[in-house]
Amino acid sequence: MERPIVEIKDLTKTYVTKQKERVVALQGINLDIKRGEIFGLVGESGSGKSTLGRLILRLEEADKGSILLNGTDIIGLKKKSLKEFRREMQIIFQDPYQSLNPYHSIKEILLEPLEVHKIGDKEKRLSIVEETMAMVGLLPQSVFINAYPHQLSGGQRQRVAIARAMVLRPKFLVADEPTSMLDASISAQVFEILLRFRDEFGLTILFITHNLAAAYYLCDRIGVLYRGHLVELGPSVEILTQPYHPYTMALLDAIPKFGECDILSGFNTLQRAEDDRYEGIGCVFFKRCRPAHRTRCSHETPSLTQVQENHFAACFYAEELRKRILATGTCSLGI
Amino acid sequence: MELLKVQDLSLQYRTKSGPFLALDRVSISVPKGGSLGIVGESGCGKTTLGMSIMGLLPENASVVGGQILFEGRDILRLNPEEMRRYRWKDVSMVFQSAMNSLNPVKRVGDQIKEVIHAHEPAISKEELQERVEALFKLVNLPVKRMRDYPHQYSGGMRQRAVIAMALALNPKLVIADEATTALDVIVQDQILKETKILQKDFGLSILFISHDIAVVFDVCEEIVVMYAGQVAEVGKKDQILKNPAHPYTRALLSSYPKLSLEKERLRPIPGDPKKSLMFKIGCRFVERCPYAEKSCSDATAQWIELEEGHKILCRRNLYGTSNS
Repeated sequence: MERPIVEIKDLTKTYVTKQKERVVALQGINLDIKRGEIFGLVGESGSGKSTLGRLILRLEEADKGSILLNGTDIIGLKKKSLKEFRREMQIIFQDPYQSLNPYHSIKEILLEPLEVHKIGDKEKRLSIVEETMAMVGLLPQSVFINAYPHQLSGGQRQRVAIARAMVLRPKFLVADEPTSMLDASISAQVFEILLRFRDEFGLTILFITHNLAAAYYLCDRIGVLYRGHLVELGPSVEILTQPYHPYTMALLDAIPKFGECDILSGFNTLQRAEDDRYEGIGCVFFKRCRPAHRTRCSHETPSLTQVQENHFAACFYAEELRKRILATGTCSLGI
Repeated sequence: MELLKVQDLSLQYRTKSGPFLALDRVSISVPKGGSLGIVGESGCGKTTLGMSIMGLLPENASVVGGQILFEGRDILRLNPEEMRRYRWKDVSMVFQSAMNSLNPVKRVGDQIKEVIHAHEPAISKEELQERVEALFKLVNLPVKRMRDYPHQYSGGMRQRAVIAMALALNPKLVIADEATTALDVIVQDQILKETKILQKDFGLSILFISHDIAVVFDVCEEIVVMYAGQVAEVGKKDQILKNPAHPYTRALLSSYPKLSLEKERLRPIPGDPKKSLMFKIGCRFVERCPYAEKSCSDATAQWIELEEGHKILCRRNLYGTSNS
């Protein structure tokens, strides 16, 4: 089997707030991303999904654990080798209004990464820029190349951001909520561009989103994060049609549904909790979990366990819940 | 009977590059106790429509035609005092950005008290306290958090506080403009459910504005699809889902990821919606429309009624044809 492009082992990151409170952003994450796949990372705000993307690119430093890119641990990399490695990995952000320098023309924005990495001569660089603009549909190039970000629409700006990430022809792209500020018709254009880069260039993508429908459409596999813990991991179709973790079920319940819809819902696994902070003991989801076992789930911490061939869930009662859903169509009863 | 009826409303903004028609003969109606959803891409005029119903238009906007009838009264003709009483008491609005609609240096409870006090100056302190406590309970906020400041709230709690404020004077209509767009899916779901309960239990009418078609179809029974300042299609939720007849509605529906097992490739709508806003003769969607023919650019389309309550503004009637 081919070695995964990204291998994450026991990755942990804690922030300390001004009030000296420790906030666990990621706790012991183990995850592989395969070459050429689109991996979806789903979770609510504060789940740590953006932190994971930033750690992989070393925009932030981890507390513990290792991140292997193509077999090399990037955590210890020093300045020069880090720069080399950054050529291989790029990122696009949520807000195309904030991630482009308003004083630079599109040409300057797209040339900059090539200049930083000293790629080709002037002519070569310009031809790469024009080629990339065609790939993201900024056509005709002559119209866009001398424009400034404020002259473009949100969708066009996001294309510029994708083009900027792609001029270096990276192997791996982190897409952090790239469409959550865009209209559906424009999001669909961005999805098309990402799919094309994957299909034609074998680009591997980590797609970070809070939108399960988008993750389902775009991704081969999905990981579900809850408060810094990876609670479920599996093929997209299985996550949406055969969920094992009560939190994934709560997410599925909450997706607005209309028209044709084949996913299950009505699991009713979520309960209201006045105080749902995690004290570090027991299951991270315990306080909000309706079917939770009162003693076991509050004292022991479940780890990711295999439930199907490529499908894992961090819940003691995953199999039990699954059986109950198959039998009764619901799992709202306690354990 | 209709609570709100907007008839052929046209509205113009004065801009540096000349007048700009943001609403072009828009007609909608919200029945008493009903829920109407408006969907469309950004720039289609949906927020302008909400703002004109609230009487909150900016200086450079002027209504150039049509009426806004609330319980039969044209609110465009109200004097400032009548407008003050109408706004918030009859119709209130929940905006997308909850942080920007709360005063950061005032306690949340006090801000809601202020709204009530401004309209009912004779109210006693105790009654005011009771009213705000009841509102907090209604939107599922812990009463003890009344003394907190907005920054101490989470995003979902702030949005609930803004909803509580919108409900403070028991309005008949609430306009929710992208009210849940910035929220996480679980919080969004809770707020949408609470909204439906309010609507059912208190007979509240809701005008729900969003670019997120999934949310609009989840909450509303009646749907209006807007494109570039015009209404493109109107109908009941099921009519539009079953038989979308305007090419734009079809495009909008097929650009949204479905949750069905058979994955269909999404079909993005080509082109830029902002270009459609330039005033011209003929259909505004024509440049992005795969079904357009020459006559579409020559003259503005007429309304076609397809079924009771289901209408489109389009020369190419796709009603009943397959979506391919």
